[in-house]
Amino acid sequence: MTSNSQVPGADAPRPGPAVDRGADAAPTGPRSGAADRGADAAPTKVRPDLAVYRGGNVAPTASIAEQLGRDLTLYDAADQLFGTRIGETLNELMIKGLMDFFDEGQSVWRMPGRKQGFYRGWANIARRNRRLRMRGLDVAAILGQADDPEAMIDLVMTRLEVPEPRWMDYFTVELARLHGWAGFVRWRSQARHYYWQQRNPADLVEYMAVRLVLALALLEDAGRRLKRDLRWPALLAYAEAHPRECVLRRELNAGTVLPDFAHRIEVALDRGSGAGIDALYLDYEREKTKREACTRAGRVQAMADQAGICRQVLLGRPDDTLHQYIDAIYAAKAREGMLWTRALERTHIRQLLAQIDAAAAAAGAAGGTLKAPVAGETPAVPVAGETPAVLAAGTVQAFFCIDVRSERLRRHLEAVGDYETYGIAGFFGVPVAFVEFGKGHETALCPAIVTPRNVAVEMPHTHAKHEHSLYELAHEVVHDLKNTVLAPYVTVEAVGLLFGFDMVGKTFVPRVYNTWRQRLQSRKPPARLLIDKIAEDEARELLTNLQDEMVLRAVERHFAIKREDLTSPMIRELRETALGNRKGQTELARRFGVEPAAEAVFIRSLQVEYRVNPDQAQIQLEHLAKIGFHRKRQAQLVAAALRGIGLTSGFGRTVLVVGHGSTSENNPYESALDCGACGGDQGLVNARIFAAMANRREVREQLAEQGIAIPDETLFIPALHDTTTDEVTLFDLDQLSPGALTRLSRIQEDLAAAGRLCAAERCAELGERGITGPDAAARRVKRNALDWTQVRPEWGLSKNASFIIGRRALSRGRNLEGRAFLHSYDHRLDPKGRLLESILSGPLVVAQWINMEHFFSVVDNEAFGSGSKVYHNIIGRFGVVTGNLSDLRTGLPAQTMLRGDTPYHHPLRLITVVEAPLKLVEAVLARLYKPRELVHNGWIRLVVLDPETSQAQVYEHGNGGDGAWQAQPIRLPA
Amino acid sequence: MGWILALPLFLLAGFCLPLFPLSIAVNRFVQRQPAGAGDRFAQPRGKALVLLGLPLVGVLLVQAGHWLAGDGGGWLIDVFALWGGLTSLLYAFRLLSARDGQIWIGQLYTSALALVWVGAAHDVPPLLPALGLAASLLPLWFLLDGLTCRFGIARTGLYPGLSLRMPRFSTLFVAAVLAAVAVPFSPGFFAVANLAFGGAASNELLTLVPLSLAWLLWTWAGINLLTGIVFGEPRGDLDYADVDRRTMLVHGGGLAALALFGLILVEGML
Repeated sequence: MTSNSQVPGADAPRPGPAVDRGADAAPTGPRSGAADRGADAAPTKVRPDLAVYRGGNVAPTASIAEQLGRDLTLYDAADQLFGTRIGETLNELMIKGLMDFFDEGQSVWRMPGRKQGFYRGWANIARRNRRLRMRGLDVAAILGQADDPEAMIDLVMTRLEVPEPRWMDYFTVELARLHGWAGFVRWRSQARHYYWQQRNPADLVEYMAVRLVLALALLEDAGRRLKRDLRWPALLAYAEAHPRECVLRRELNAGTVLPDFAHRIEVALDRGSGAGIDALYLDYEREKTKREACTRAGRVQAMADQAGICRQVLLGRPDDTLHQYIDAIYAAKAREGMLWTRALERTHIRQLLAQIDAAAAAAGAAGGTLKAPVAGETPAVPVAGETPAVLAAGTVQAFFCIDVRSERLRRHLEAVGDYETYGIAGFFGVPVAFVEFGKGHETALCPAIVTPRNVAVEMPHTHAKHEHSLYELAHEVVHDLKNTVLAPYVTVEAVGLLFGFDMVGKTFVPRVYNTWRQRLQSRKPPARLLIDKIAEDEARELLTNLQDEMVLRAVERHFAIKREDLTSPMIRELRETALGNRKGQTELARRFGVEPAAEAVFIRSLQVEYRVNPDQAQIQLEHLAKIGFHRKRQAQLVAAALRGIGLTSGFGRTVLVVGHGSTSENNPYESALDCGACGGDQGLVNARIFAAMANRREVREQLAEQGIAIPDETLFIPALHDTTTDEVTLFDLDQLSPGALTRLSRIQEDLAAAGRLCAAERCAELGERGITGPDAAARRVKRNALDWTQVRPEWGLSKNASFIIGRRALSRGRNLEGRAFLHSYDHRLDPKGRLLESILSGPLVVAQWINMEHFFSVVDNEAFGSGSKVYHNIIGRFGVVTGNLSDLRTGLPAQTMLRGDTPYHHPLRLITVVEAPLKLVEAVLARLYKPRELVHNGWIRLVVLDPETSQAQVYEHGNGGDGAWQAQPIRLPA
Repeated sequence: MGWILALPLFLLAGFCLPLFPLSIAVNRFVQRQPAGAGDRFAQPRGKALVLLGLPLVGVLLVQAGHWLAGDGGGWLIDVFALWGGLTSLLYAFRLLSARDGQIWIGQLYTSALALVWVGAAHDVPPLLPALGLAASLLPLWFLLDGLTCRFGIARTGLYPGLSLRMPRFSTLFVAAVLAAVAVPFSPGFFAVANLAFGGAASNELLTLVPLSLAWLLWTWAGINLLTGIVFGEPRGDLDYADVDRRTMLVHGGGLAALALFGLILVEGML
């Protein structure tokens, strides 16, 4: 998708019956005076051209000659004309090659030669592939004619005699055939820092070359069998010389033929008599026209019935009028999708603005602090955002992710106690790459549009050895056995029954069973995050310690010499020798009588196996330099986040920093339920880092210099909101003073109560039955999270509709049904619009991605979504396919989008509400390319709540990209 | 010299328990279109009667030939058993590419009944297996005829996704196809089991290879048939009308009767 093109969702489906279509839901056909002659009313003026009546999935409307190279490849044309199945076979062979090459550790026997790149790796195997040769595909001969992918593409296209001006169109059609795989290859080629891309490089040119080689081989094989020339000029000439025959052939082979004609057409085509085929074509055309006319008449009558027009009235209309009705209906059908989309959006905008208006009225009535807005008056700038300078005693502030699922929890939390909640992107403005304890890789915890420059490392409190439990060892052994060639036969007999118990436990008592299983697993030791920058001498010391540890392990393994028999100078000497800083015999060799040859082997092993060598040391030093944040940077990040949400004074004693994540079993889409702002991971680490930074005395001193005074008694406490169970768990409590801990019991109770209320709402949305109250709901959602048969543990971000950028007062106390992204923002603290700039260019863009992903997934779940997840299989550890072989599935599964056959998510563009003066918003948009394009090209709907004019300005996108603001009055909280 | 007398009887039986190329006659008959309203044997019911009656005649001829051949003619029946096995495999293999319903069922009929020869060579009483295999095809025969009446032709790939448009019919169709390809516990399954258990004692190779391979190919072809008719995305330009409750009951009753016959077959085997 590009933001430069205009107007999405032109063919959006009709929304479900639950949707309020409102006054904008214009009728799609005539509402009065329409008449229908019924099913027997074949129009007399139907166009005789058979192609006219092939809409939708029935058949293409243009001829082969017109479509070749634009919509059809050569093998598509051959498939449609001669019933070959080249496209299917080509996709199958292609997918197998792609699965082999892109595997990221799932297969036991990996494809050899992948380091050479996709094309060369595949070509090396294809040249020796006897199965291809047995199928009649002479791939080796083709591959022998060119070495690199570009030359191969040129060779194939030349050999097929495709005119060069058509090449780009042809490539586009080829890429669209397996759009999931092509998209993945494109992403990989651009992800230069991605480990697997560095290791096994691939790009779209290679992809195209492989596809074209296979296509050429298959076409040549089919040509030999059919005794036909299937190259471009020959196919084109055939299509132009036999247009009627081509139509019948396409109808027959595409499965769109009238069933009762199938046999006759087959016989006529077998006989090959031109006159016979022409006569049959005319019969067929007549019959098809007649049936299509009946279908259309039936539709008109059905619409007339719905409009309350009786059949007799319809029949009384002249033929011409009826034809006009039919034409009007079919013309409207083409625009129907967008019509419904706009109707949905307007309805939602109207409801949302009514909610905001009501919230302002309610706040004014309750506190008397609101005054009726006066047009043109600018509210006085507060000292610090929306929070009063002095909070009520015991008020707790809590930062939540802008995610739509936070809205429910925030609403209930505010209702059960004294809580001020704020919305901020769930990475809390801390882009970081995280290295978890026990894991060797970095995970980027930030939006996909940001590249983290800093690394946070998790370090355990103690240096006790982390040993695997017996259960984990057994699990590992069984896993390894499953992956060998012969062992599975024995393993099934030996331990198969255990898997039966596992299945019964997971299926029938998931909560109890999973709790028991978790006890068997060894727990991760308590760990802290290393977030401060390491000085160079500290880094060198750390590296030296690591190298010494490696030396100790190597000595023990090679010579069975324990630590107590070694001295520090001996270790140092070995390390320096391995690093090339000294030469000659070592003390170790002298004392333990190690032969010079064995000593040399040992030193070599240290360098290669244990990586104690100068190059590795340099790399490790570079990595260490990335760890942590400078104090100044920490202060910058905390200040930016606090200003962004409008909290610069009036801090409570407790500030919760709530990241979010989800829990589900057997769910390849789990990351779609986690935090989008954290790159599809959980937001806890970012919350912990932010809280740790904000609690630092040195950071607070720097913040105070910038005018953000955080009192000493204020404590930032990280927490994790499990969006599947709505449980909130507080973290890093061991770093709190006993006094601070006493405050937490009430907060934890409040969080639990709010979570149970959320669970009750969630159960209603999920359609759970037998829920008697919040407690039962909490138990049910917990079960859903642990149940491996549960295809819908939660709805996730489905039904997302709006993004409110403004003060919480706009929506406080209103039930937004978990459909709104809420970003706190106070324009009074942002006269130049810098904070708004960062919100519009970061969180808004991510929210728009999420919205569009849902939009397209629900509009056509099979094409843009991933279909039912019941049939999904994980392949290569990076994606899912349907069944055992299919295009790589993109988008979201049916279980996230649909409830039964009706859409759960409503396909509407993100309604972005910004509370700020219109001039400010326009000035910001003028500076930002991406958000401006999103607004002007109609990818989002922008509503500006202008406090200066007390008007809601709705941007209406025009056809030529020029839009206009439409104003309506609204009350806003003062 | 009894085999000389038995040979013509066996050859005649080869038309009824079809052996290639004598099987061409049966297949032609199955695919024959009615010449007019009076052409009773080309009507579905007439054809069904013939298809059910042919194996009975075949069994009689085989039994008579067996009697005439005596103990010295064992080699002759072995030859016919080999011929039957090869015929069965040939038609089972061709079944994989058949798309037309009548061709499909004709080839399955040939492939199934040719297996009776395999049992006959090893002293398995052929009557019940022959009846079981033939009767198992009857529900599918009538349902395919129903498709022909509705759409003008019974063929895979022309109107996929019937399960979404005609769920009752599809339920019956799935059950009928499964019965036709002799899945447990259809009469066909017991018939195949009867042939297998009876024949394996005397010649495992000659009995089990054709039986198991043919059975494998039938089930594969059955899945192909279901995929092209019951599953998939339905076309939007066709009119669909599901079977009514009465027809559903009639066909369901027929399937139940077939299941009952399967039990009788088991009783006969025991």
